[in-house]
Amino acid sequence: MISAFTILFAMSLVSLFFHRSYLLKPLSLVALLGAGYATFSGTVVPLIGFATNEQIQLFELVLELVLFATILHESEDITITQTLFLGSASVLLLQSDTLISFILSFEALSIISVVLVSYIKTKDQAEGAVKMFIAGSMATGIVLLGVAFYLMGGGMLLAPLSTQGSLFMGIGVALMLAGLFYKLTIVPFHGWAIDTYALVRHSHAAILSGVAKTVAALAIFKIFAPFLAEHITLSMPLLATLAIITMSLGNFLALFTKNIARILSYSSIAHAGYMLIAFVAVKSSYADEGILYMAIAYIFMQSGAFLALDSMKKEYEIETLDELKGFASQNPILSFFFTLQLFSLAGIPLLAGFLAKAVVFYAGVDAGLWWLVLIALLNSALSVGYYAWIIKSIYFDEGTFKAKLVELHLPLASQAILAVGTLFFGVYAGIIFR
Amino acid sequence: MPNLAITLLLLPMFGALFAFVSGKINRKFAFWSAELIGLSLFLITLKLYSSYTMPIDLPMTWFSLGDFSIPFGIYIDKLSLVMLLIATGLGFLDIHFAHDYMKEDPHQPRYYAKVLFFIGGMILLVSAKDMVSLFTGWEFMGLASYLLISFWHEQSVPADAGVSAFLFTRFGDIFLFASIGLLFYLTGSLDLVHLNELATTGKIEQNMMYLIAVFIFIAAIGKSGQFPLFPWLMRAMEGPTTVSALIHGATMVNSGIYIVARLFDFYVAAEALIVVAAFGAISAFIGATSALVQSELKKVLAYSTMSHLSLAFIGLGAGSLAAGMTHLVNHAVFKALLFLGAGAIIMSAAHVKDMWRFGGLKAKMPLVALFMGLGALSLSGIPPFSGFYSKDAIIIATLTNPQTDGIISSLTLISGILSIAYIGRLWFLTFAGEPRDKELFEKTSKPSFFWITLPLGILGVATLVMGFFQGDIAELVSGSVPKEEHISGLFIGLMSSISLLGLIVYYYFVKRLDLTKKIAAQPLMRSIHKVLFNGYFIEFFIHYFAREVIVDGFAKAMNWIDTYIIDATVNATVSIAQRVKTLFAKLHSGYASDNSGAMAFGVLLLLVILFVGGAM
Repeated sequence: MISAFTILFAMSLVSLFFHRSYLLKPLSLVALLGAGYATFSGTVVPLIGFATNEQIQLFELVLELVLFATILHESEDITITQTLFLGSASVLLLQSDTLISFILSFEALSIISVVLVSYIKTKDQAEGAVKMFIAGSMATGIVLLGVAFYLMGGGMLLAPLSTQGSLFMGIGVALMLAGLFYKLTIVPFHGWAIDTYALVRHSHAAILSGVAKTVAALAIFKIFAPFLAEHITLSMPLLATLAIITMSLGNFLALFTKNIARILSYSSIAHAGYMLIAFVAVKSSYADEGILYMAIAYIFMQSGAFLALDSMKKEYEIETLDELKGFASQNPILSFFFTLQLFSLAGIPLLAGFLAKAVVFYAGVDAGLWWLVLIALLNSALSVGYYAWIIKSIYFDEGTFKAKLVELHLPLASQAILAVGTLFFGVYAGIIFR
Repeated sequence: MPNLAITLLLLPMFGALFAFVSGKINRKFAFWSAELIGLSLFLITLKLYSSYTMPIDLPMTWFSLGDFSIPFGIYIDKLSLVMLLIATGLGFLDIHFAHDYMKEDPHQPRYYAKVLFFIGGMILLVSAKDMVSLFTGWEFMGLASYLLISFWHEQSVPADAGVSAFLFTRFGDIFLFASIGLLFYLTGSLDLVHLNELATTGKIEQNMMYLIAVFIFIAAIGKSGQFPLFPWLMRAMEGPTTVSALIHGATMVNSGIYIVARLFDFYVAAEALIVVAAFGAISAFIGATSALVQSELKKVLAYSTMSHLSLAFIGLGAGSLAAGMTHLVNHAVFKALLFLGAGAIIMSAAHVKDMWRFGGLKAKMPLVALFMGLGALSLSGIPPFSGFYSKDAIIIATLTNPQTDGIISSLTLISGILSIAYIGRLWFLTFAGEPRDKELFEKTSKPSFFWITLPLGILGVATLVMGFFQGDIAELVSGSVPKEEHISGLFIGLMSSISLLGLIVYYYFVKRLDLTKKIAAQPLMRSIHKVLFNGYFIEFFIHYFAREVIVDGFAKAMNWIDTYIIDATVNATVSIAQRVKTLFAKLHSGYASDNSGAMAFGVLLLLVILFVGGAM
């Protein structure tokens, strides 16, 4: 059986020939459906060092659904091609089982991310792309240094990560994690993200912060969890500190920001902090369910919020809270979808974001980290503030609008898909806890 | 069979969406898709009924995490099936009737979507296996009733009526939610059948069981419109009449009685049935007497609903599951008939609801008069109509049970006999005599046969035919045929008093209508009339209490706490948050070089920490 990776990769190459053709979008969507079917029937990348399991399979299906919505939304041909490329790299990363396949797939994902944002049209986009490129290359250096140390300590490239903690191996793993955390935007490796997410095109930010980040988080957890669990006395305090700093920084900075994209990028950093709680609580048997749930919820709500913002920008050139005022009267449907995703990000019950946080926090308490969970709870209470602020602007303020620039239909369909995902995983949780 | 049950649950929800979307394309599609879905729901239920061998039991879980799991199961036994037949059968006729009744309305897609959602809520409620799915259906219906009662939300009165219904039922729902929490805490099980077993074997502490039973009963009072939470039922008359028929006949008000019947063994073990009977008796009396003086057609029926549901509650409270539930079934049919009949009259008579402006309408709509007459006879308990048997059984149950014999049984008897008075008054004032408003009479049109009269005919025949199958219905709803008990002289006494009262009403409202004004002019009669007309001022008391105690007392206290304690604390945190933000913002310069510097610094720090921490 042909694997999802093969289908996506082949399609991304083929799609180059269909630029400026009406067929590009339908073909890409069909390819994604095919990839979904291939994933469903349990196929693996036909190379050494790749494996899959039920959880990964579920997340891949979700990923393909989100990419489907993203492509449905997208109107630029080159971005569609690159989204498909990114999808194939994501499948690679998710299914990678040995260190070498993991590192290579991760680099593939990083490079494609940079290529994605390199389709530059404005000065701001250039700034965002360059910042990401510099941080990414630096991170690659750190990761490779870590790999070198790990190999010096006797590690093997063609095997899953060893759980032994010899001196060089320990340093190697620490360096690798530090480099990988750049993609997860953990403080202090977050600097690029604040600007890049806010400056590049919003649909690109949706892919970077929604898709690439969750894929990285899940893959890193899958590879590194055994090691972290083995060395819990060292990893626990270190990662807990990072988690606290990351979520507090994201939430506090978001509180006083007027630019919507910037608020979303800060909230993205804060959510990286919540994801890190699952890494800290790795001893708990709920940690893997927690990170999976967080990834699924986050990929829906973050992509949905950024794509909605992209539509708003196209329609009315909305960038800041002031420009958003009274948007509900202009486009009630889009307002509803945007609000739904924001509610999910804030963690309102019956939406995916709520259960994701609940499960991750439950795992934290299960691992005996109630103090960390308490800080996280205070943080998420704080975060409701700025989400509510956006929603207040949409619904309760009066605003003035220019004439509508474009009429949007497919983006609304894409929003509907993402909203259904957020609702479905918020109500029907049984599918994850098997 | 399980697949069919799942279909039955999901179809109305998707159907609602479908009716709405298709109605947006062409307004006529909304009705036809709703009609089709309503019919298929009824056919599925019939199929389930005809192939019934044993209860359909689907123990599903919503989700589970570790040892903690929330169930969401489906359980359809005979009792559920009877309720399903009522909900889908009457629901279908209601949709059919709405074709003409809602013909002029521009918001038909919204209407049919809400109606299907409403029926779906009821289906979920009666096929629930545990408290969670039951509560979900319960809340779906609460929402749907709000949406339907305030369907004409452009006018302020229906909108207020919707809010009122929502708040009154919501008050009860809080207690249902509390009882779910208590049950989960005490027993760890929310399975309705299992709870009955637990209760009968005495696994739950008696006092807690009593408390839970009372809590659930408060929720039932709210949903079924019993004393003191009934005012919403009367206000709900502001919605379309088809909605009233749906709420009062097929779905919503039955759910309160259903939940008590479903947990009947629990109530027996908790010794809480006397509470049910006592509140039922008070409500029955209030409903029956208030119905006597109402001037609006629908308000008479609303108060009679309250009174007759109370009779069903009394039947349960007196320990006879069969009597209570058969009365519920019979009532659902004849009350839907009467409401749809009222809808036919109101629609034909240019949306006038005041009975005093009608009169002599049987010349204009003889069939409607005939079928409503059948419903009226059944409601007042004349043999061989179905209403007679169940009402008789309830009265006998109260008389033979030593706990309820006395005040409760006499109140039951009085409200049972009074039925003929208010329904007779309604029928005579509307159909008999001379037209009092000539202009209106001229304007009154003849209703269409297929869309309006046919559903009435079906229901009218049903309420007659059901009288001959009372034993089977009792067997379906209670699992056993109750043995016939007779009290000598009761039948003769009942019949003679009912016929006497009927004659008085006839004489008073047809022959000597001029007497009413004279009697009403007396000061004593006027004050009695005022009390009855306003439903004993219960709504006034509730509003007074809510305004004076809750709003002016409690809310003001909360407001003080909110302003001076909570707000002050929050305001204090703002400056702290600002400072933290400034600190964080200082760390972020926005230069790519600083970003990289921070990364390098982070790596360095990590290595130092690892070194200090002893990894190296």
